[in-house]
Amino acid sequence: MSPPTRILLIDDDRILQKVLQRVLKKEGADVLLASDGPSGLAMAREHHPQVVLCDWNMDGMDGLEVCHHFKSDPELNNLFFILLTSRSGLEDRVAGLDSGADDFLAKPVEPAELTARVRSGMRQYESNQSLRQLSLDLDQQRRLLEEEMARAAEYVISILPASIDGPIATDSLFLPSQKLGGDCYDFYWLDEDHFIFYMLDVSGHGLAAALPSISIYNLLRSSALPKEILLQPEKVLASLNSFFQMGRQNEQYFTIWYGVYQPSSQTLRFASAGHPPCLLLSPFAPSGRSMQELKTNNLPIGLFEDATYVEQSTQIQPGSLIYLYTDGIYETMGQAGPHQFGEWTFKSFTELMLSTAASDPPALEKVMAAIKQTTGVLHFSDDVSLMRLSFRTEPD
Amino acid sequence: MNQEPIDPQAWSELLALGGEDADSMVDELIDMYLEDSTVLLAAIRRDHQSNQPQSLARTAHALRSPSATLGALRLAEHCRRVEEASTREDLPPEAVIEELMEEAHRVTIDLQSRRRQA
Repeated sequence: MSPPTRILLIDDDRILQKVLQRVLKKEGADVLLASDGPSGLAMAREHHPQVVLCDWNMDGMDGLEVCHHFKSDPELNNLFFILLTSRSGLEDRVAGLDSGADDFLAKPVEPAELTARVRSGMRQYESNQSLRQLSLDLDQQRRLLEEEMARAAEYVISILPASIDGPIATDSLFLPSQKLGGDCYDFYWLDEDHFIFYMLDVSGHGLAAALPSISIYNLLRSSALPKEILLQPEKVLASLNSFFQMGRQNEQYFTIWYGVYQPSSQTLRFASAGHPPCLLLSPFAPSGRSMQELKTNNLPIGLFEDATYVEQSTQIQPGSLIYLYTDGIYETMGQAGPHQFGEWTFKSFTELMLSTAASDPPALEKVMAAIKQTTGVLHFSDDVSLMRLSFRTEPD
Repeated sequence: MNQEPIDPQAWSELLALGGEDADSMVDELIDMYLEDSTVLLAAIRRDHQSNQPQSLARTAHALRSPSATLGALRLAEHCRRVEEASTREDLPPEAVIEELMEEAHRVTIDLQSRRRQA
């Protein structure tokens, strides 16, 4: 058997108290009596009743005020609060509801109605309690998940490359979203004459996206792929596509932009697969820089086993800048509202990148701050990665 | 409305609430009521004589609720009239207070006899 319903009765009429107590006790309830608001509140804090019956007209603190005290106390606001009233006007009911009362009971009290309202109050109290518990459980699960995501994000950050200086000064920025996306990137000198840089974005969110992205990173960093392949972007993409036929298992795929720069010939070979174009900004001139979008028409990796991949090449002038990024930087901000570019789109993103690329471009953090300021977005809903290569003006 | 100080229907409903040991409950309630009403009636007269409508409204309310519970519906109605008049900050006429007192006297006698019967 469930424990008896515990009811607190607050009424300054001790005759009515006695009568109601009797009715409720007959129903098997445990009845606590208080003759005014303050002692009722104290009693509720000590004995935790589930239902409160409170008279409206009382000296000192009236029923509305008592109700307000109950409902604004986090420890007591889950109790089912019934106001006893001889008032029947609409305005009174409105005032009662506004103070947080859950139900009303008209005086003189009809015993059958009293017990029915108490039973209904108990049912609501119990379902509120289970909802409350459910929401506590959910909240805890959510916090655990967020902690795990934060740890996974820390790991991704730990494997990402640090900025490098030299003929191609390269730096990068990674802003993991709360849900953690599947962004990853790398840049390094394969040998004295070949600089490799790439960025990828696995579809979906959470560990399901982060784990594949880390394993692709490891594959490219290990010597699993021979050097001849790493130097040919189209072959890298084709190899990755044969390794990562993930689409069949869990409908996952990834986009990638992969480039190899050769300083001796000032040539960049590149291939992209479903990834947003790389932005190539010409050397700074008094009239500003011009911009070119570098991409190849390939399908994302992991969608079709027999997909073929092509690459292109282009000359890089000294003093050029290259930006590589993931779509989180412009795609998820559509809702951000009006700003100086109107709707925030890919086009407004590229315009902003061009406008921030002075002769001596600012730190990536400043570029990101400018994006946030322009869009009014403080937190991105997807991972955001941004990489910049600055080609030295005077080659050695 | 009937002329009896204690409404028979209200009284039988009260007895029904008491169940098997209704008598002892009723005895207890009558004792409490007589104890309280003596004090409250004196206060009503005092508040009226000293021209304290606010206090009078509270006292009349305090007598109204238990009177209604015990079935003294006419007395409860007198209380309500005094309470409402006083709440508007008008002191009710002397005659209204006297009517309340007379009715209270009848209720007291009736309840005392019921107490003895029980």
